[in-house]
Amino acid sequence: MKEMEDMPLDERSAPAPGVQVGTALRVFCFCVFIGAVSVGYLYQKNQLETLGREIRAKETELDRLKTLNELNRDKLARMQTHRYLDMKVKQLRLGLVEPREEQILRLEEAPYASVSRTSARRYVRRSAGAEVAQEN
Amino acid sequence: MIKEFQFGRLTLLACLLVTAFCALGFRLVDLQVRQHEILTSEADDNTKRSALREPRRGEIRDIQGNPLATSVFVKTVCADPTLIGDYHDDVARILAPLLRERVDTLAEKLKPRILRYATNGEPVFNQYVVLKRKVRNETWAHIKSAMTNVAAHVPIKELPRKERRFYHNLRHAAVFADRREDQLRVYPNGGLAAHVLGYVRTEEDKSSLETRGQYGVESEFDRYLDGTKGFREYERDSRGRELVTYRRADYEPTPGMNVVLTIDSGLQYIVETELIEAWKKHTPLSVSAIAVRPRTGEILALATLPNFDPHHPGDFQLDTLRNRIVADSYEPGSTFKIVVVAGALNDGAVTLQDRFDCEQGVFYHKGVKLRDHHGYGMLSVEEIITKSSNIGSAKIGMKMGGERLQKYIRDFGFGERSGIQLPGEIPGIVNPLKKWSGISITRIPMGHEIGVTALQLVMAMSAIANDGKLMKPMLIDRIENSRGEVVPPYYFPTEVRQAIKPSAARQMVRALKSVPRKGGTAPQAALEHYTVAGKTGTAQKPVKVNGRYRYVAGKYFASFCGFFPAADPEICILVVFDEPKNGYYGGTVAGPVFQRIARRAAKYMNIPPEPELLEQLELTRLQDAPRTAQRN
Repeated sequence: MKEMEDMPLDERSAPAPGVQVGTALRVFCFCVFIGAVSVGYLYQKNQLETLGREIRAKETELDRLKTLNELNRDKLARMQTHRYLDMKVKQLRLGLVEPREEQILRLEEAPYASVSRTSARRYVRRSAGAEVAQEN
Repeated sequence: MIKEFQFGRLTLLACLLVTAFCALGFRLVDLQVRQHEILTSEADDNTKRSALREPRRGEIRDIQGNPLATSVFVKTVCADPTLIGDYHDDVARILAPLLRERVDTLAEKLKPRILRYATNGEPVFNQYVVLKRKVRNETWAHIKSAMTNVAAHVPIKELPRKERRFYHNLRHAAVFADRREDQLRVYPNGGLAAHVLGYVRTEEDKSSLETRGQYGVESEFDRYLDGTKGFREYERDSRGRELVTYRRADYEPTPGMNVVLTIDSGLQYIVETELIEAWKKHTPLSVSAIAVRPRTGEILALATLPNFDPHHPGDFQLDTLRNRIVADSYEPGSTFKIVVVAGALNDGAVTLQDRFDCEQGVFYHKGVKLRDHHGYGMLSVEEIITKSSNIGSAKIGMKMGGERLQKYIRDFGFGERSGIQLPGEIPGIVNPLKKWSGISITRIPMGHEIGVTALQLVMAMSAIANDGKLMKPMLIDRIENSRGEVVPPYYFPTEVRQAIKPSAARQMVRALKSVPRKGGTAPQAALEHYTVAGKTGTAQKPVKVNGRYRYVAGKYFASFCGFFPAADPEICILVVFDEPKNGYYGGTVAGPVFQRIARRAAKYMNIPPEPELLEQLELTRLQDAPRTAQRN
């Protein structure tokens, strides 16, 4: 600062030789900004692509699991049928027969009733917040 | 200083650049503006795709929640013969065991053919051949894996690029799955309740393969079972992979509703296995049984033999597919006596103790003979039911009068559709009073000159069991969405009308209790631990001879309809045989079948035995024990 004050006035107003630091810094910052934005954009695009692939892979996996679930449900349904159970009893020679009446010990309970009328029954909502009916 | 020739060069360069830019600009405008629409559609065709997403068809379940009909997604396996070349025999050999098809049939399909467009006759190679529909996903995975081994001996890496491409296509693209999603309807129980469930068929259009119900509940509730299609618009890359980022629309399909029946698969199995045994013994044209809960009208089991496999309905005769319980009417015979006697008791025209002369088995009315199978003298109304006297019931009908009889026939639900949720129900045949002949009043009380469905008959018997209240048959318990919530329409037991007074119904039950006893017409229908009330029916079958219907010897309908425990009925069962062999009386043919079904049903349904009968049995056992010990 002292040097500047000692300089003659005409020398001080003349343009400094070479590149000005401030301008260069600004240009550099601008370039960095543009570069960063571009890289960021590419990064985001890449992320979208990667996530898209991940979503697809997960959807494929979900489809596979749903299919597997369907197969298992189908298999379970078949294994629970009376025909299959009867066949298995005969195949494995379990010798199961219906119990005689005197072999049955009856506890105090309700006789056979349709499931729907004895178990909880949830009704769909007619409109938001309004339950149509609830039967227990 | 720029020299003159340099300036000239610069000018030339500038001109060239400007011209080049102008040309580029023109091309740009040409592409972006003039050819915009054509190119956009071309680009869209290359990248954009839209796909319908099939909803999973809803399940049909029994009352316990066991699936009776369910759906699984499957593939339609197709091939492009142009990519297979000379390998059609090899591919056929690989695919045949997996697709369960003949090798030569497949090889024939896989041969490239030239087709011609129907519109302009231009030749085109056939690039789409359906090899098999409804192929399960696991089989499709095996096919894909097996196809990678086609021409395994060929050293592909050493081949020129064009041939390498051919082999790549042969292994990975020649056999493919159709983009349209398809479903296979699976009936885990096979033919169980096939007449109730019905079957489906696949309807094909350009964009989708739709599963449509064709018969039974599948058809009647198709709009609920069939969900709402989803939709997806997306773009794909050069390799055909979906670019998830560019998905435009993505709507999930809404699965179909689940229809829950009142049918219990356990009871249905009991009924069907017993019918099969009865079929083996009596080889009838058909045998049907229906089990109903009298208090609610819920149908617990409904079966008809001959049956069919809903997976392959096309393999069966059309006649087999018909649900005879609702779609066939027949002359019920003596089971119909319940209507005339119940009506007469309700009107006070008779009491159970009133006695009628049964004319020793032969009675003339308007010069036409009416016979009983045995000759009876004086019988009380109760005995008329017990012995199933035609003459007695005819006399009760005559005492009641045609008009009142007609009223009760209608009140018990005959001559009109019951409203069951099954297709093809008929109202039966009930002639209006003015069409009755002179002898109709003696014939209708014994179940002739009238056509009823098995369903109407069992509902009428259920009305007697239910203090005279006729209920609407209930086959659907509820409809649920995929979250298990019950959705409208709601189904509840519905009373059609009070057919007779409770007191008359109770008297009727008393009379019916005597039928499955010693001295009655169906002792073989009795149960050890429960009091059964029921009625037999044996009706000659009218057959068309020389253009006229005549009763032919040896052709009968044999039936038994009963309920138990008589004091508090839990279940009412009807068994009907059409032309049974080895016997034809309702009591001896249908009665034992009723008994076996009822015995197993009682255990399955956990119906407590009647304490009095249990005590009696215990007493008999105790009395018999010393005698047995002495004998031993």
